[in-house]
Amino acid sequence: MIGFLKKDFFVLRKQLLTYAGILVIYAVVSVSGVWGPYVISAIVSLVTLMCPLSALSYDQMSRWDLYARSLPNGGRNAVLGRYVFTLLVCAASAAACILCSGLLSALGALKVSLLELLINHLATGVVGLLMAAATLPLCYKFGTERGRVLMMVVFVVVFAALIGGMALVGPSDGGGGASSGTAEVLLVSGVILLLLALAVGLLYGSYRLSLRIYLAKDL
Amino acid sequence: MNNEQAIEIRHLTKNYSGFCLSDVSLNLPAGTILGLIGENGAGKSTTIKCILNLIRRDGGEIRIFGLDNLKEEKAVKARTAVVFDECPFPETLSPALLGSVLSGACPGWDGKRYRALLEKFRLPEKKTVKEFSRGMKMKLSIAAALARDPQLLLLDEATSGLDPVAREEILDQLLEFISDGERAVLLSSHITSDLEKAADYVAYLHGGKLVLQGAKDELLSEYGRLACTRAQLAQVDPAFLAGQRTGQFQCEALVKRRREFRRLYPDLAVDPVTLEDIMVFTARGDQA
Repeated sequence: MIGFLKKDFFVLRKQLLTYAGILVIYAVVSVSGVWGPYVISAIVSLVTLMCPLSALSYDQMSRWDLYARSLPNGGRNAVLGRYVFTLLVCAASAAACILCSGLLSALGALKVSLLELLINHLATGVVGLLMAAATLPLCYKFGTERGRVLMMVVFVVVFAALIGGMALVGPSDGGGGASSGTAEVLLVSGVILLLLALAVGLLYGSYRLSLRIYLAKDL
Repeated sequence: MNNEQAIEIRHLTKNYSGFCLSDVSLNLPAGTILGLIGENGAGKSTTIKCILNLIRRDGGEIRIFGLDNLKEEKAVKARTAVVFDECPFPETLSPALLGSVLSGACPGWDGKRYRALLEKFRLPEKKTVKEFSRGMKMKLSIAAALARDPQLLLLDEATSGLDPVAREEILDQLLEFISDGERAVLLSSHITSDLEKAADYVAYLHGGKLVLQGAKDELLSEYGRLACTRAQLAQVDPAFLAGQRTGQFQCEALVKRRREFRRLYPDLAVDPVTLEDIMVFTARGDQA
């Protein structure tokens, strides 16, 4: 499995550097006050979803799938490697965002609570993982071209559900987080961590499904 | 050469809409090279994919060194390496990075052997795959396959599109690979001249059916190429004819049992055949 994991990192090394560049741009934009600091978090969802899809796309282009399946346990290791890669890029992008936010906070450039921003990074990580869990089996089943279209559908559904959920919960106090009490922040953190565990669980279920699809596929 | 069978295929069947690989049975003894010939779409790749369980077969049985390829898939794949007609490695990787990837993906990977093969094939370690010519890509695929130290090597049209020098180099490598008598090669190709140089056995797939198989030298001595007039051809017992090409003035035919034919028809000239003759005449005979 390590070989498959390495391959994804090697193949996407330029893309990962590009995402690091985007993170810096987002950080600058957030400091300038154009979009606010929460925009940094977007990078976590973006990386978590786009990296595995790009890796899948490269595999299909180079016919790596055919080669992978010809190796002992190659099919299982290829799919497992892809999901571990997804988790790692999610964790790495969240860590990069946390580092970036910490740096901005230390420089006094943050206009919102650092804790709330960190929770936001985690929340977008959860969203990214949920979307990856929903999209990857579709891409294994239908290929990345149709999978990307289906990903957009998933994207719209997830965000519509989130916005709907927020509307149901009711409007926030509008204070940008500065007025949130510690208890409320802790509660939200707990919920996020619970959702993170749920997302990882769903990702595991998604892995089992993708594996079944992948191994049953005639190449 | 020992008596062990590297590949035993019995009644292999795979149905697609519009194509059917039907009832294919063949053997490949260890220490030999089997040339699988046939036109494009004859079922060569399908056979190889069935051996590796990359596609689900509809019937039949496949054993690799005595192991069932489905029940003991992992062990079979550990002994088997494949070279596809297209290089399957990501274009942005260099052979050095690829070696690092494959060392973690292929059990039994021998990095030293891989580097030695890269050197032997004069492949630069730092250039990316996309900068390689087709010949270089094929050599890289072969280096990656041999670095796994397989017992069975499957090559699916690996020499097509290569210049004669590169093909010769690859064929030499295959002959070296089987020289210990323990390993075997299944080489699928429609470049029959390659198989005439390297193969010990030949199997000919036509329209999804195995129409001919045997030791290459026996096949080449069994068949002959007859050139004669229409009137002469009309007198030949049809049982001798495996295929024919009839022109206005001259006819050509592929005759079976060449020695017996010569004895019965001493006035007719029968020349030696090539695998290509056998392939072309059999295919045309089928169309007639």
